[in-house]
Formats: sequence, C-alpha cells, structure tokens
Amino acid sequence: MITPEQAHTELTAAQVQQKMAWMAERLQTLRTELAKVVVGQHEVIEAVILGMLGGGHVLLEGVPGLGKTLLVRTLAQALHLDFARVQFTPDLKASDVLGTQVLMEDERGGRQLVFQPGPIFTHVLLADEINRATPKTQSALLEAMQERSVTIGTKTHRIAAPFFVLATQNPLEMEGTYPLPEAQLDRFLFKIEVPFPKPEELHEIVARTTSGPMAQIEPVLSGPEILEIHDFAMGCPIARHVVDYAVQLVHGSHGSLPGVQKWLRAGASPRALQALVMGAKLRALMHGRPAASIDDIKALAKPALRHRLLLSFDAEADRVRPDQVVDQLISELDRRVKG
Amino acid sequence: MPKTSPASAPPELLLQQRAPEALALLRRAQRRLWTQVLLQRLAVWLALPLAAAALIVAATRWVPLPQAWDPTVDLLTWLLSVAVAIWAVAHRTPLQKAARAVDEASAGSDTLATAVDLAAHQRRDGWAQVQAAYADRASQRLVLPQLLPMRLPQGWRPSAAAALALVAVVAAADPLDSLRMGQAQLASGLAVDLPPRPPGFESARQDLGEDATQLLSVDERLLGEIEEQLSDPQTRKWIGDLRQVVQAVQQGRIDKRQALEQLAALEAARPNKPELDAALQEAKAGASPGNSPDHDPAEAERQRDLAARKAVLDATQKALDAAPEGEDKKALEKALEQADLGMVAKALQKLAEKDLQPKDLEKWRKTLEKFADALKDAKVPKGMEELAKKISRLEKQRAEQGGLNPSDQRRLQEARRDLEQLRRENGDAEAARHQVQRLERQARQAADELRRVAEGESRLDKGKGAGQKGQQGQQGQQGGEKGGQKGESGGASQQAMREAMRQAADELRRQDEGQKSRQAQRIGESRMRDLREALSRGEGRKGQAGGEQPRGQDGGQGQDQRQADGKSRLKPGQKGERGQEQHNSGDNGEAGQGQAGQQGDQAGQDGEAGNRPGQKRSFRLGSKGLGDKSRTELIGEGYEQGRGQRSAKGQGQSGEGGSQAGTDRGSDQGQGKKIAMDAARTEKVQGQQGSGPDVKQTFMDAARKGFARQGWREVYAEYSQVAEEMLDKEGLPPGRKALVRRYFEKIRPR
Repeated sequence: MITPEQAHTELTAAQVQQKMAWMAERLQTLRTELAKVVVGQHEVIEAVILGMLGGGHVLLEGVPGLGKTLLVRTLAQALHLDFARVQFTPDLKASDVLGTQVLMEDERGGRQLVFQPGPIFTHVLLADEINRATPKTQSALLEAMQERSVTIGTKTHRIAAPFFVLATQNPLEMEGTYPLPEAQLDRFLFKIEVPFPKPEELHEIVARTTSGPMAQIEPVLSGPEILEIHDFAMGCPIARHVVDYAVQLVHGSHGSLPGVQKWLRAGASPRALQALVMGAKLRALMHGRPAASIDDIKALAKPALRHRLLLSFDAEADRVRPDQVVDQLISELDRRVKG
Repeated sequence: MPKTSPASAPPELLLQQRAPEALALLRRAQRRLWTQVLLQRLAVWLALPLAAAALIVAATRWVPLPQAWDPTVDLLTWLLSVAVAIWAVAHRTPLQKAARAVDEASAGSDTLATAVDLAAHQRRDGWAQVQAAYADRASQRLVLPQLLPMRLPQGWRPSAAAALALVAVVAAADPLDSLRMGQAQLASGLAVDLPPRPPGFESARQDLGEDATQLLSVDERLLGEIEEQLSDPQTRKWIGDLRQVVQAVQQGRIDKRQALEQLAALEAARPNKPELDAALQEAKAGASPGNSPDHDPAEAERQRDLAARKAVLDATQKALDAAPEGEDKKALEKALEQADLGMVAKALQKLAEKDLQPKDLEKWRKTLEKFADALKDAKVPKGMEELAKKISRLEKQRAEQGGLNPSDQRRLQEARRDLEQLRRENGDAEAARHQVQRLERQARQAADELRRVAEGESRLDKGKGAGQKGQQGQQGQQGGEKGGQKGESGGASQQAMREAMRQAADELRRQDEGQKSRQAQRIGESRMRDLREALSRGEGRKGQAGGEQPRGQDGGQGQDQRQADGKSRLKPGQKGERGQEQHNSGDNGEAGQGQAGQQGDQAGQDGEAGNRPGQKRSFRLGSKGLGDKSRTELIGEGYEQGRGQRSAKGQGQSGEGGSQAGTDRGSDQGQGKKIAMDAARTEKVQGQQGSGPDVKQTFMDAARKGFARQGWREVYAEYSQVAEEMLDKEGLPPGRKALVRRYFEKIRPR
C-alpha cells in the first residue's frame, strides 16, 4: 500500500514500472471479466472504470435495454465490494435511500432512536432511473456523493470508502421525470452516453443470452486495491502544456473561445478540470503510459464536460447538443494552440 | 505537478543522462525547425527591407534625395537587413517546442514533451525517470525527415512580403538608372563610366513613322516593276531589299517591330540618288489603301465623296471659261472658290430666273455643254470599280494557276471583304454617282433648250423683218407667221430651259446636301462609336441591372430595331412614309439612330429616342428635312447624337415638293408613335400583387400600431409568474412542468 505522498516522491523508477505493470494487469483482468457479460461498449466500460478509480460517480444515460444496469451490476460482481441498487420512483423518499431513525427498545426496556442505514451505505450504489425521483429525494444524494457522509438528525454517518454512485437515466422518456439540477449533475465525475450496439454486437448479445446460462463473474479487484490504484494515479506526472490544455478547455466554456460563446449560458466548473486531469492520468496508466497527454484530455472531454455545460436558449432552439459544443471547443482550442 | 526549484541543472543534462536517444532526436528536430523558422522569418523580414529599399530607389526617380542622404539610406538598409538576419539566427527553437512538434507529428501522446517538461522542472523521481526511459524508447522508432520534412515558408505573411517586395522591385524597375539619376555621386565616386541609356524602341523608330507605314503598304509587285525599271545596280539592290521586307510583312513572316528594324537598317544604307527618290515616290503613290493596315472604309468613302465633289466643281470650273461676263459668272466663281455646290446651285437657280440675251444664251449654252462634258468624264466613285477589277484579276489568276499563294489569297479575301463592306455601307456613294450622271443629263438638256431658244429668237427676228417690209409675198408672210410661231415656241422653250436649269440646280443642291448629310452621318457614327465604347467601358458592369433594356449584352448595350410609323403631313395620293429606326440602348440611356425615308411631299430621316420605361436617360437626334437646308441637331447631353436626312421627291407643281419637308422634328409628343416590332425584345413583366399586405406593409402597419414597448426584462417576471400559477392549476405531468420551468429558466434575463 502506498500513500499519495509516496506516489509522488518516494517511488523509484523500478517501483513505478512495477506498479504500472500490476495496475495494467488488474485492470485488464477487470475488463476481461466485464466482457464476459457485457458485449462491446468498450469505451463505456473504460469510462466507468476510470470514473470508479478516480473516486467519482458516473451517470449513465441511454435508452432502455442497452445494458446500463447490467454493466453496473456486473462491475459490482467483479469487485470485492458491497453493492446496492435503488430503483428511483416518484414516491421514493429520501429516507428510503439514506436510512432513518427508528424507535428501538433496549434490553432494559428503555426506548431510543436507532439509525437504520439505507441502501446508500454501500460501496457501489446503482441509482436506477435517477431522474424519476423527486428533486427532494435526488437532493438527498448530494451530501452522500460529495461528502461521502449522511447526516440524519444531528448525527453524521460516514460512508465507507470506496463509495461511488452509478446512476442511470433515460433521455427519451421524460413523462413523469425530474431532470437533475445542475448542482447535482456536477457531482458526477463523468456522464457517459451508452450507444446502441453494433450489429455484430447484437448477434453476440443474442447468442449469449438465449443459448445458455450467464457467465459467472469472478471478483478481481478489491476495495483497497481500488484505493491503491487511485493513490498511485495521483502521482502520475502531467506536463504543464497538458494541464494548460485542460485549463483552456474549461476556461473556453466560459466564453474565452469565441466560436462557442453563443451556445453556452454557463461553462464547466472546476470539478470538470479535476475530472479531466484525474481521468487523463488514469487513462494514461491504463494504456501503459507513465504520463498523461493531451490526447487523454481530448478523449475524456465529452464525458467530463457534457453534463456541466449549460446550453443557451439559442443552442436548444437550434438543437445543438453538448457534444457538438465540446467538439467545437476542442477545434477552436487546437486552432489557437497551433496558431 | 510539484513545484521544484528553478533550473539548477539544464534539462538537456537530465535528458542526456536518462534519454540520450531522445535528446539526440530532439536536437536534430530543433535544428530542422530552426532552419524552417529561419527561412520563414527571413522571407518575411528580409523581404520588407528589400521592399523598402526598392521603394526608396523608385521614389528617387520623382523626388531625388539630397545627396547627403544617400549614404544614410544605404547604411540604414544594410543595418536593417543585418539586424533582421541576426535576430532570426539568434532566436532558436526551444527544446520543448521541438519536442511538441515531434510528438504532434508522430502522434506520440506528448511523450517527448512530457519528458522535457519533467526535466525542465528538475523532476528526479521515479516517475520522471520512467517517463524519460519511455521517451527514449519511443524516439528510437521515429524517423525525423518523415516527421518534419523541410518545407518552403508557408502562410500569408511570407507570401505577402514576397509579393510586396516583387511589386517594389518592379516599381524600381531599373536600379542602375535610378542610381544614375538619384545617386550620381555614387557613380562618380566609384569612377564608373556608365553608358548612356539607349532610347526606347518607339522613340528610336519614330522618324520612320508614317513614311515606313506607307512603304509597307506598297504592293510588292509594284516594287518589282519599279525595280525592273531602275538602271543603277545599287538602287536596284536597295529596292530589292525593300521589296523583300514588304513581302515578309505582307506574308506575315515578320512583325511590325522587326519590319521597322529592317526598314531602319535599309534607311541607314539608303543610297543618296535622285532615281531612288523618284522610285520611292512612285511606289508611295501606287500604295493601295486596301493594303494599309490602317485602311478605313469610312475614310475611303469620304475620299470618294471629296472626289465626286471635286469632279463637279472642276467640271463647273472648266465650263465657266465660256460663260459670259457678269454678276452670274462672279457668283459662280465665288461658289467655286468656296467649293460649295450649294452656292453653285443657287447661282444656277438665279441664272434660270433671269431673262438672258441671245448672245448670253449662246455662251451659257456652251458653258452648260462643257459642264455636261466635264461631268461625263468625272469618275465617281472609283473605289468599288477598282476593287471589283482587283477581285476579277485575282480570281482569274487563281483560275489560271490553280491556286494562289498565301499573300494573294489574303489580298483576295481583303478585297472581297472591302467590296462587300463598301456595297453595304456606301450605297449613298453609288447614288451620288447616279446623281452626277443625272446632273449631266439635265445640264445637257438645259444646253439643248438654250440652243433651241437661241435659234428660235434668231428666226423670229428674221421673220419679223420680212413681214414688216411686205416685200416677199406669201412665202414671206408664211415665213413671218412661222417665225411668229417660232417666237412663241421660243418663249415656251425659254421657260423649258429655265425649268431644266432649275432642275440642274436642284440636282446640284441635292448632291451637295447628300454629301453634307453623309458627312454628318459619318460624324454621327464616329461619335456613336465613341459613345458606345464609353458606355461599355463606363457602365458595362451595370448593364446586367438594366432589366428593361431590350436585349442586354455584356457591355450593357442592347439593340432594338423598330419601324417607326411617323405621323406625317401627307397629301392625298401620296405614299406614306416609311421609317426605320435603330436604337442602341445602354444601361443608363439609349442612343438612337434612325432613318425615316418618305416619299411624297415629305421625306426625311428621323432619329429619335424617347423616354421609355426603364430607361433613365435617352436622347434623340433629328434634323430638319431638306426643304431648305440640312443640319444636324444634337439634343441631349452633348454626347448623344444622331442624324437626320430628308430628301424631297415630291412630284408637285413646279418642283415644290418638299416644301414642307424639314418641319418635322420628330418630338415625342407629336411625332413618331413607335411600335415595337422586334419579337426578341425583352420586356419586364410585372407580377400581380396578391390581395394581402406585403412584407413591407406588414412591418409598417406593425410600426404604426407599435412594436413591443415593454422590454423583455420588464415582462419576464410577470410572464413567468403567470406561467407558474398556471402550472399549479393545470394538471400537467411533473416532467412537463419541469420543461416549462426549464424554458423560463433558460430565457431568464441575465
């Protein structure tokens, strides 16, 4: 086990190389296990793993039936971690998620309020169809996601690390839903759009699910290992110009890049920059490189920015999507850097 | 990234220890990029001093610099160039930039750049070492020439600078000349004896000028004939050389410049012999205008008109020798001096009104006979006949030889073209010849009448004398009666003589006016050409905008042919007027040129251009008819011109036809209701307006009613509040309510 301080300064070159090899091997094993159940969706799987290792939460968005829930459940099985699933509905209360105090009678006959933790007290929480819950219930997740703690009454209960929320939502079915407010969206490290499978992937899905039992998933990564990878990745170097690129990207979403100014009402928060840099480091290590690069920043720009960009009325009227704005941001920035 | 102490060791040293291969690669890339950037900068910054120097040199042509400035200008130019060069050399490409360029070219995920960055930040930990080793391994696979190929300076700056320098150098044109003009002291200081500048080609050949052009238009066969006639060998050789030059020019083997050079050489070697001068004069005299490159059919027609006029005047001059002395002769002599056929006609008219004495009658008869003889000998015009002869000769030659050489072939084509053009354009000249012939006939008729009158009066005198004396009986009485009858017929004959002389005078006048009108027509056509050129030059671009113009062409000109059915004062039984009018219309105006011929009491030519829809400006040209005199009126803005001609052919009493001619000015109000006959004419068709208001009207109505007077910010709160209340009342699904709230959130004023 290494601490973040050790990851920065005390590791020798041999140790770094050894750790990189171990990490690459573990992550490859994890991906292999996930691939036993989830067909295709490599980029989605990679982004989910990066979000999990980065200590953040991931919002999965896609039409029903694309395997969002299956992916999260399979990921939980592949990890030596507690897993809980909450199906969000309009009548779901905050206490149903966080827990509540109940009146208990002790051995002496006395009565006292005892906290009964809700399903949020777990390592991996699947918040299925999170946008169907009322804003009140959604807001109940805010503290848990950011502070990793739950305050009930006067007492704050810590949630054991690692803790990350994998939420899903359906972009089409808006009836009876409550879009997540921006503040809550910002809590998610990445927002991942789950694409429809390719034809060959559909063949594979049919073959796997209709011709026999589902494959058994073996746990390959424990909680401490996840935290160790996280700490190790914190020490991964990133060059100044790469950080500059990420900074310019986030700053550009606030109007410094003129090409996208009219589409944006509000830009990304500093959390987006953190997500970009941390995700870039993890991605570089996952790909066997000892340092993050601009390519890593670009690869993670959409998952990190798409839910943090507040589009203007013009953009919505013109049906401009956030991904198009991110592409434009990258294009403008590349032009400026090369010019 | 942790903060480290500023560069205690150069990054190259750290990289040298950890990644020597990568460092070597980066140094090569650095040199390559530096060279590339150096070229780029030199292209920009050395081109600018060059341009400045060239501009200074060019400026000294107009404003010579003071002598004291020259060393300063030279020094500044050199200093600027050297400073730019030093600056370009000194600014080397940083290692980090080279690493990024290599990474970008190799899609290397910033491997080298990160290694350099870690070294620059003095990172010595395991991460930095691993990164350096990683970069070292990656650099072994890279081939630099493929990644960073040498390229010419790119971008707009080098191109613009190079273009600027090129323009400036061209403006300077001749640095030596500028040095000579503006920096004479430099030349003297260096003791350089610069040769005088040779004169330009045109100025050197200016002395040849017209003479040479005339020589080049001489028929080379004529030169051959002249050459055969010469006796002096030196002169013959010179003429032979000249003939070769002329032959080469006419066959197109040499251009004008070469021809002038050869003529200049010939001129230098020209023997000073009178025989040669005479031969050259003969050659020039025989030069065919058709061979001249500057041959102008209009000019040829003018020459023919002048020849016809001169023939008539010469004939009158010859005849005038036999005329009796008196005021009539003086008037004719004065008219001849002024070469005015109109005055000659007036003199004849006056003569016809006068009671002539028998001796004068005889003299005037002789005068008119001589006049008729002279007119018969007059050959007007000769150009078409000569051309026809020439064509006949060439075709005969082709038939005999089975073909023509290229020179003769070209000559034949030119002759046919000229003949066709003359026939097409110069029909009036042919008519003038017929008029001269008619004049000859009428002059001869008048002379015969005069002779008969003289004979009759002579017999009347004799008869009267015999009758009074009563000495010759019946025969004498019969003779007296016959003489009396002759006397009566003599009065009638004198009347006929007068009529014939009047007609001759009319014919003369008509010819005079025809020539004048043709002259006016030529002037008009010339000005029309100038106008068309001016319109096509000045307003050619606007021509497409003229949707109303009849048939737009590229130069903004259109042509429209109409037949004008002019309102004329026709007498019963007379033919109506026929008219043709041509319009040349441009974008802004219309140049009209028309002819309207009339038969009857009124005949004329009428050109007009009225204001038509869609034309901003128009002009007309018309003239008074020829009842009294012909003249050209220019109505418009000075450059619009036309011509008018009316010829009276009325068969009324005593040649009074045409008395009303010339009163028609063809104005828009009273004249010429024109009917467009050309089906190809383009008209602008207006679409029907719909019943509803157009866009402009809609906006104007809205403006009258008033646009939104309250700002968006002022109404937003109210509207959003109403929407919120409605959301509470209506049973909308929660998701839809959220959409409405989101909408109002989106449009919230900021």
